[in-house]
Amino acid sequence: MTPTDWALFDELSREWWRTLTSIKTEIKNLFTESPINISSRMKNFGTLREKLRQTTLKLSEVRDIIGCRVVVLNLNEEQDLVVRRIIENIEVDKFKVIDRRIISNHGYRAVHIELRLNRMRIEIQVRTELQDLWARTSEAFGELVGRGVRYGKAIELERFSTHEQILIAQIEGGLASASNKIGEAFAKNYEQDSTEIREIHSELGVINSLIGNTDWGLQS
Amino acid sequence: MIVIVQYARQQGLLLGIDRFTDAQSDEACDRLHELVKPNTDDNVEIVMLSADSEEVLTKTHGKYFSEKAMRNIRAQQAPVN
Repeated sequence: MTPTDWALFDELSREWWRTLTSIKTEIKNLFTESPINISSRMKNFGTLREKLRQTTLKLSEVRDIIGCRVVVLNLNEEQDLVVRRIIENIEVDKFKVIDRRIISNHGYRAVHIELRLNRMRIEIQVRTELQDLWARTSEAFGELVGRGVRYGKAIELERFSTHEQILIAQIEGGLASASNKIGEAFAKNYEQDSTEIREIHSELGVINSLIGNTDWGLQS
Repeated sequence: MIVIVQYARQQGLLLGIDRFTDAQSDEACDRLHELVKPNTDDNVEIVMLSADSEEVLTKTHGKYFSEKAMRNIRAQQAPVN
């Protein structure tokens, strides 16, 4: 990047951050009677650079440079309430709701709200605790075997030992199964403390432990 | 609060953390650029986050604030006997 590019990035990122802070505050103020867990983040610059290099997207077309994430309890009605209140009250130029709770995006389930304000796009991710745990587990798996796996790209298994390949297959299967069960939990509207929800938590705990506690140093 | 994390993806570990108040967003942006410009390592994520507290960030961005991820940072911050 040239000094001019850096100066532009500096200026843009300050503007993004100001807009993001104002949106986050606006959303937070919609839930003063029962505060929600909300945070905002500006995309990792390296990921942004990678995205711009690997696609034909322009900077103005990248949807998730800035965004907020809300994590709610494992209750459909709570997730619905948060989404509804945001879209009914937030003052933006345009918005679009992408509900991935029934039809997942390669296993990922959540509700995203894309907001457009002053030519900027802001992505609001509304996840239940379980959807968030699945997303984090899948992300950690992606860091091990290649981030493309999260978007359906095949894993280059030859990089791994036979033992690791067996573990990878188990983790992949476990993630797919957990995602299906999270979809089912939504469809059947399970209670937060139901056995089914606890079981999915526990399955994801096992997968996380396989990812985190295995010595993956055998890969060449 | 505003937090800037430097995170090693493959190792799942935080390499550094800077904390700012909401009023210090300009200083936080300066620090972000100071960290981002020389970084050429794709394994290192540099992310600027904001929430009411670190507890909220643990809930929404657990990846950066898990026990494992924070191990290095806690070791650096531990008092020396």
